Order: sequence, then C-alpha cells, then structure tokens
Amino acid sequence: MISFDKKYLSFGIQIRSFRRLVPFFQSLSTFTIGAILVLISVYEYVLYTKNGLALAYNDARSHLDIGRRVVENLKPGIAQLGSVWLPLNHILMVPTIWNSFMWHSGLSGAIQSMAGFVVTALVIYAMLKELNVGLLGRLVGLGIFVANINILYLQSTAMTELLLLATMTMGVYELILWHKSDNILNLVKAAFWIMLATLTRYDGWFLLAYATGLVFIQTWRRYDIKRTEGVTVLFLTLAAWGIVLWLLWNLLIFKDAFYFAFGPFSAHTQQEQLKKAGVLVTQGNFLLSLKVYMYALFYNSYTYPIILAIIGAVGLWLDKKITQSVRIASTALLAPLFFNVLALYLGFSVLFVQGISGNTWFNVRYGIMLMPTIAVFIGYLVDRAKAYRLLIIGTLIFVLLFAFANRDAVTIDDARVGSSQKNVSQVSGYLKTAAANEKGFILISAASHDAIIFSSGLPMSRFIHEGTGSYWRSATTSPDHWAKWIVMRTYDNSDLTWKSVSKVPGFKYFHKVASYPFADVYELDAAHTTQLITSPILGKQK
Amino acid sequence: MNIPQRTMSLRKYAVAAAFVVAALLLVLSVKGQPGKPLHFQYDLDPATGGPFESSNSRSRYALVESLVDNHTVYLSPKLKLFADPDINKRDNRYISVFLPGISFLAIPLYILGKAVGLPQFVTYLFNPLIALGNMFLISMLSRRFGAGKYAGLLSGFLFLFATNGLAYTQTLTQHQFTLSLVLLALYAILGKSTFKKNVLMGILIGVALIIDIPNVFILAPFVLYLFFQNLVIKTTLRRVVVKVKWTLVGLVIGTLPFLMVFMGYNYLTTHSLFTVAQSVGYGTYSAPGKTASPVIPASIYDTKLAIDSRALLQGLSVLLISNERSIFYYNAIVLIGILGLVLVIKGRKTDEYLAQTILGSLIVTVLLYAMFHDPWGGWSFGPRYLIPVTGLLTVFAGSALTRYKRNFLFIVLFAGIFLYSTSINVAGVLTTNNIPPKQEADRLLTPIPYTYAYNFRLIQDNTTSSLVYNAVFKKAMNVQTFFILYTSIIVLMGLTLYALMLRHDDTNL
Repeated sequence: MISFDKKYLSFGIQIRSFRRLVPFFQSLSTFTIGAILVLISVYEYVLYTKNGLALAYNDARSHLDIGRRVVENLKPGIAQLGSVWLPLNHILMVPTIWNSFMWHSGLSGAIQSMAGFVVTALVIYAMLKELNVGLLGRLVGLGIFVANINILYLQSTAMTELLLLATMTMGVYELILWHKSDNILNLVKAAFWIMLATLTRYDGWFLLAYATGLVFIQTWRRYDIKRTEGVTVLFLTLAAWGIVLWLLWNLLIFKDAFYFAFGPFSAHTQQEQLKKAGVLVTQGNFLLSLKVYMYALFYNSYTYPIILAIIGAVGLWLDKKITQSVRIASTALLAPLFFNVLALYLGFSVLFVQGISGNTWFNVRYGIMLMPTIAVFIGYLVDRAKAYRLLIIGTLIFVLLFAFANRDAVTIDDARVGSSQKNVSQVSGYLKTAAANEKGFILISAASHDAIIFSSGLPMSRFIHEGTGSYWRSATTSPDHWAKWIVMRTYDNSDLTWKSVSKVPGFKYFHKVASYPFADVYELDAAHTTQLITSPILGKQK
Repeated sequence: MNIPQRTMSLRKYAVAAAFVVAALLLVLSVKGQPGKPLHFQYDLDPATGGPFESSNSRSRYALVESLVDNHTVYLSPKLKLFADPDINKRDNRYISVFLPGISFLAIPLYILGKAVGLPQFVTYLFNPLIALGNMFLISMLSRRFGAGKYAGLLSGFLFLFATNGLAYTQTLTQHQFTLSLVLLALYAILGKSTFKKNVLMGILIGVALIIDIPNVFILAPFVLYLFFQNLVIKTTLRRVVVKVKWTLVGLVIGTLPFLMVFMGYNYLTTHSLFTVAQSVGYGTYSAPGKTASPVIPASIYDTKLAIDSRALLQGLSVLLISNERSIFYYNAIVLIGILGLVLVIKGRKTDEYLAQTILGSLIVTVLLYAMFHDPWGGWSFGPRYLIPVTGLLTVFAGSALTRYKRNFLFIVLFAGIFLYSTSINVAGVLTTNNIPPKQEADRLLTPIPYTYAYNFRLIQDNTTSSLVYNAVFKKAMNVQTFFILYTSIIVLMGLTLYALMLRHDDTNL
C-alpha cells in the first residue's frame, strides 16, 4: 500500500507477506540452491557450446577421445584409459560417450564438470554452515564461487578441474566434520572423497598426504599412539586405495608401476623437453614458483577477493569460538596452494603467466584451485565483520561488475590464444572432407594429434593409433596395406607415426596432399590402393 | 563554554596566518617564465616544467580558449595540435577527450585573465584557489571527527604541502576539485539530513558527472548513505512501513541541471546524450604523420573497458607499493591519516554506516584506479588519481595528532614523515610533473629517473618551474637555496601549528 503525507512517501507491506518470505529464505534448502545452481550450470554450458569455446582446450578434446576409445575403437576396452591422466574423469564418461553427440558436443565430459560445479558450491555453503556462518555469509561465499567466469567456463568444458574441486572440497568438508564430531563415519567419507580426488588429478595425492598428517595429529592429540596408528591406517586404507589401484594398473598394463610418472608420455618427460628448451624456469626457484602461482591465483580470482580471503583466513584461525582442531583442519583448504608451488619448484608442473614466465598463457587454470578456499574465507569474513558487511559486499560487487563487463577470464584467454589451445580446424577439416565418404584407415599418433582426431568428426574406429595394438604395429610396418591417409609432423621424431613410418619401404607410396601448422596429410598413391585393407579384419585383440 | 577573548584572537590570527602563508607559498610555486608579457600567456608552449607540460592540462585549457574565443567546443587546428594527444576526432572536427567541467569552471578566470593580459596565469589560479578551499574543508571536517582546532588546521596544511596534491595545484586538472566534491559530500552527510543538504549532494553528483566520470563511483557511497538517511523503516505488529522523506527530491533537483549540461555537451561532441568523448576512444585520432590503426577485436573476449579487473593486481602494486606512484611513497603522511581513521572508528566518533561510507569511498577510489588501464596516470608526479584518497585520509590525521601529540614516538614518526613528504612534494611542485612510468623511462633514448629522484636532479641542475624564482630570485639565489627556503617555510609553519596544538588543543579522543 502506498500513501503520502507532508513529510513522507510511505510503502506499507503486511507483515504476513514478510512472514511468508522469512521461512523461505531461512530454509533455503540444499535442493533449492542446487536447482538454481543447475540452471546456472546448464545456461553456461549452452553459452560456451554455442560460442565454440567449450572445446577450445586441447586437453578437453583429448579427454573426450580417451573416454571414447574405451567404447568405440579398433581395439576398444578399459585399457584405453591409458597411463598419463588419472582415470576417474574418463571412467565417468563411459556410460555416455558411446553416443556421438555426447562425444562431439563435449557434454559427456562436461557433465562431470557441471556436477562438480554444483557439488562444490553446495559444499562451500554447507562448510560455512559448519563454521557457524549465518545465511548472508553463506550466500556470499556461494556467490563468490559462482560469480567467477573462470569457474563458469571450466564447468562447461570436459576438463578435470571442477571434478577435482568437488572431490577435494567434499574431502576437506568431511575432514572438518570429523575434527568436530570425532565420528568415524565422517572420516570414512573424507577418505572416500579424497580417494576420488587422487583418481582425478595429482593435486589429490598431495591432499591425501596433508589429510593423513591432519588425521594423525588430531588422533594423537586426543588418544594414544596405538589408536592413532589404527585410525590413520583406517583412513589410508580407503583414501590411498585409488593410488594403489593406479600403480597396479600401470604395472599390469604398462609393466611399470611408475609408468605414469616417468613414461614417454608423462608430464615428467614433457617437462624434461621444456627444460631442454630452457622454459622450465620455475624449477629450483622457489620464489619464482611462488610468484608465478600467485599471479595465476590472482588472475583467476580477480585479486580483490584474495585480499578479503586473507583477512577472513586470519580471522578464522584466530577465532576462539571455533575449536582449535577445526581451525587446524581448515588449513587443508590451502593444500592446492602448497601443492602447486611445490610442483612448480620441483619441475613436475609447468605454468606460464603472460609477462611473468614466458610470453603466453599455459596451464594458468591451475590458479582456480583455491576458489572454494577463497569463497569459504570470504563467507566467514562477511559473517564475522558485521559492522563492515555492506562495505565488503559492495566493494566485491564493484569489482565483480567490472570482471563480468570485461568478460575477464584468464582461462578463456589460455584456451583461445594461449598454449593450451590448438586450433587444428584446417587439418581436421581437410581430413573430414577427404575421408568422410571414402573407405580406408587413417594412421595417426593419438599422443600427438588427439585434437585432430576429435575435430575431424570421424568415428574413432577410422583411426589407427598407438592404442590399437596389432593395427598400429601392422600399419607402421606396412603403411601402404593399412592406411589410406597418414597424418603426422614431417621430420619430427617426437611424432611416433613419423618416427616409425618414415623408415619403412611402404611409405614411398604416399604423397603429401596437404600441409598445415600442426600436421601434414599424406595419401596413398591411387596405383597402390588395390591391396589396401579398409575394414577391421583383426578381430578382437587382447 | 567560555573561551577567553585572547585565545579566540590567537586562533583567528593563526588561521589567517596559515592561509596567508599557504597562499603565498602557492604563488611562489606558480609555473612560468618571465617575459613581456609573461611567457605562456599567449604562447602555447608545451615545454617541460611549464604550465602546459601535461596534455591533460593543455586539453582542458584548449577547450577554455575555444569556448571563450571561438565560441565552440570544437578545437581549431592550432588548439588541436596544442591539446594533442588528449583529443578525439569526430566528423572531421576535433574535441577534447575530457569532460568539460574543469574548463567550464575556469572560464570566468580566463576572461578575467584576458582582461588583464595574463590569461594563462589567472586561469591557472583555479586550482590554487580550490586547494586553499580544500585546506579549509579538511580543517573543518577534521574538527567534526574530534580533532582539536589547531590539529585540524595542521591537517589541512599537511594535505596542501606534504602530499602530491601540491604539484597538482599548478595544473588545470580535475584532481583538487574532485577532492572538494568528496569533502563536500562528506560534509553533506554529517548530521541530520535536510532538504538543503540533499540539494547540495545532488549538485555535487551533477558537477562530479561533468568533471570526470569516475567521480560518480567515488561519490556513490556518500549518495547511498544519504539515501538511507532519508529512509525510515517502521515495523508494527501487522505491517512493515518504509517511509521515504520527500526531502530526497532535493537530490534529483540538484542533479538535474548538471545532468542536462552533461547530456547537452555529449550531444554536441559525440551526437549521443550518454556517450562521452573519452569513450569514443583515443584510437580515432592519429597524430600528424602517423596512421591510426583501429584495433578490431577478434572476439568479444578481446573487447576490454578502460576499467578492467585483470589490471587490478598491477594497479594495486603501482598505487600502493611501487616507488613509481605509490601513495605511501609519495604521500607518507596518509599513514597518520590511517591511524586517525582507526582511532575515529574505534572511538565511535562515527556510526558504523558512516565508517563504511568513508572506507567505501576510499576503497572504491583505489580499486577503480587500480583497475584503470593506466594507473600511473601517464607521465605524472605521484599517484595523481589518489589525491581524493589522500585528502580524505588527511581529514583524519587531525584525530591522530590530537590523540598522540605528546607521545614521543609519535612525534619522531610524524616529524620524519612530515619532513620526507614535504621535501618530495616541494621538489615536485618546483620542477615538473612529467615523470614517466618505469617502463617508459627505461626505453627513453636518454633514460631519466621514474621517481621523484628526477625532480631532485632538476633542482640540483638549478632548474625550476617557479615563475617567481625565474623572474625575481634567480639572481639572488640558486634553485637549491630556493627549495630549502620554500621547504623551511612549510616546516616552520607546521611546527608553529604543532606548538599551538600542544598548547591549546584538548586531547578529547
């Protein structure tokens, strides 16, 4: 009702109307928030799919190809999960990636990221509740995580970051609950989520080590050494199970438990190449490692939230109302910071920040790993700094407004123009036109050209690659009998196809038909196509 | 309370003396060279160390001259070259990139100057006058937050002579006036909200809009505070009633005329009511001999505003840490202001909403310019964009001075900061504001320092921009002696005010 007199213009609202709203806000259930998050997630996925960025990361296409090879390939099967990347993301793709739409739209991989986004946001909300943070603080924490274009972009791609964030944040959440309640069920749940994290990215391995230390200390503070030993072993039995399985997998499939770490396609080998090229500048330089990671962190989070998060973190760790054990447990939120700096320092990881290390972006998305941490600390700050709530929220909105107005997303820059992108549209376009309506296999190295395989839109079973067993061996020995086309980097011995094929006699029957920045295409001379095998004849391979 | 007549008189004399000394010092630092008439009056000479050394002053002065002499907002070919590069081309005509507020306000002074044959000299008195006004406002506001009378006066004096605001008194830029708007906005929200105060705030927003767009963000926290001052929320058993005072209409009444000027000027220059000349883009004009190459963004992700969150990290580093432009490096006196602000907030000399408003304006200004693509402010002296922050913080220096005036550690700290800040900023005002950012300084054919070291080098080289020195004292003393004398007068005045503060101000914090 609106009324006015000499002094005021008045708006009256029946208190009953308010009373209806109050319980709604107070009981904002996980379901309601989850539903809103799902809508945001779907909207963002559609947005990035429509503008073509959902598959801009070279790695996203490779992840999808790995999942696809398990179900559709000249030699399909679980062994296609490979050794370099941890398998959880690819295993989760299996139920959907058989469908070509799910594969080529990237949705099969993005679903995990989208679920990861929703779960992480909900866990931030729940974690803040456990820290006795009121509704406003919880919503601000949630908002900080959601209102980040880097997060919104990565949740729309087939990358592993959001899945990792979800599993790690769930693990830390359950760990905090265990520190609070000493309920063994929480510890088992924490172990479960951390185990999943160890199967997603190697960041999870560090979290496992850190969490084990926390479990050990917490039990030791409460009980004797015997019980400490028991509880720690119980935790590790489940939490480290994923790592044990991974080592076993590598041993069984690749005959070396550490094949993932030191094999020819491992990050270590790639880093060695970078080192030779003189661009692994963070190795052995702690300050530079810290600087590079901090830049990635600042750029991913828009800087100002970090400043507030630091204040929030200090406040939380000095807060006597929160038990000491919970405060100690909350340090697990910083595990990604320690891990990434350490990985850069030891040379296990590479990260280029334009203007700081190198003149391009590469892997700058690693800076997103602390977004849940930042969100939790800011949520806490908003709750405790009651007299400054408006100031904090207002200034945060001010910065985020400009972040959105500028579409500020360093992860998108990396995907578009940084070294994480690989625009293979020319070569894949050629291949699609040439091979779509013709019979014959394409010999190609998946390790070097997964993006081309994906972007060509051709079925996986058209490609003979390293993971096709006898087909690969046969084709690299007698390419003129097996391959109608060969895609490879000429004169580059790091391309396994060139390395094998360039020395065999059958290669002379091929002629170069196209040359592109990432690869050349060779086609078998028409005169030699009579003996060409164009269908999978080797049957089921072991 | 009965105040002895003698004390009253002493205060009056002290205030008058402080303002006279301040005015004299400002006159001593007026930029120029002797001549008949004085150089720069009719020669549009952009020489370093002169009043026209910075294009942001030149562009505004060009608009004044164009408006008065040519009766148009479009710059003549001669003025176009003079204002370069702060100009834009629209329909084959040249316009200043800046909003016209400062130029409009300087018009009466230009007309007066022309009448006496000193157009540049008199026009450039605009900022010294505004700066004196700021000194007064800071003194007054300082007292509202619990500072003693002399402590308040000293605060105003500190702002004027121990910050880089001093260097910008001798330019035709917006910084000093922006501070006036901030201080007046703070004044407008203190105490009970009235119709007159709301109109005043409306005028401030309107004027802010035609001075510089970022001013709107800087003033936003004050406007929000005022809005809530005019709001009454009453809860009864059955209803929640939100009452808005009619006096809030004053805000609209105050803003409207200036908004119309803003839109009118935009329409003249860009053919759009809300498109400002600056947003047309620097790229639309190319200097003679150069070809403009419009950058066509390949993607929406390549399109960036002048204010960009990606720049925040670099901007914060430049404005808060670096020796290029950091506020603490050039205006160390703000440390006393921060201490005072903490005292005011802790001592509940302000309610929590007012504290948030003041902090909000400070933080928003820092964040805004840290996100700006050029936080250095081009070739400039100190953090020129943070002059409003410096001024607002100096308001609270009075509270710290009042509280700790007899604390030995504080006195030592204050003396060190005062001497350091004063000498730096005097070096600035007596030489040049044209100091390049580090990146540019390193690339010069003959590299020059990118900090105030350059100003001291010029003083050592016996070079000053002071008109009075160049015209009167040149034969009597060298520039170093002039610099020492100038600084000594400030220090002496500061010490006098400190002594008066010790003797007469109560410690009421």
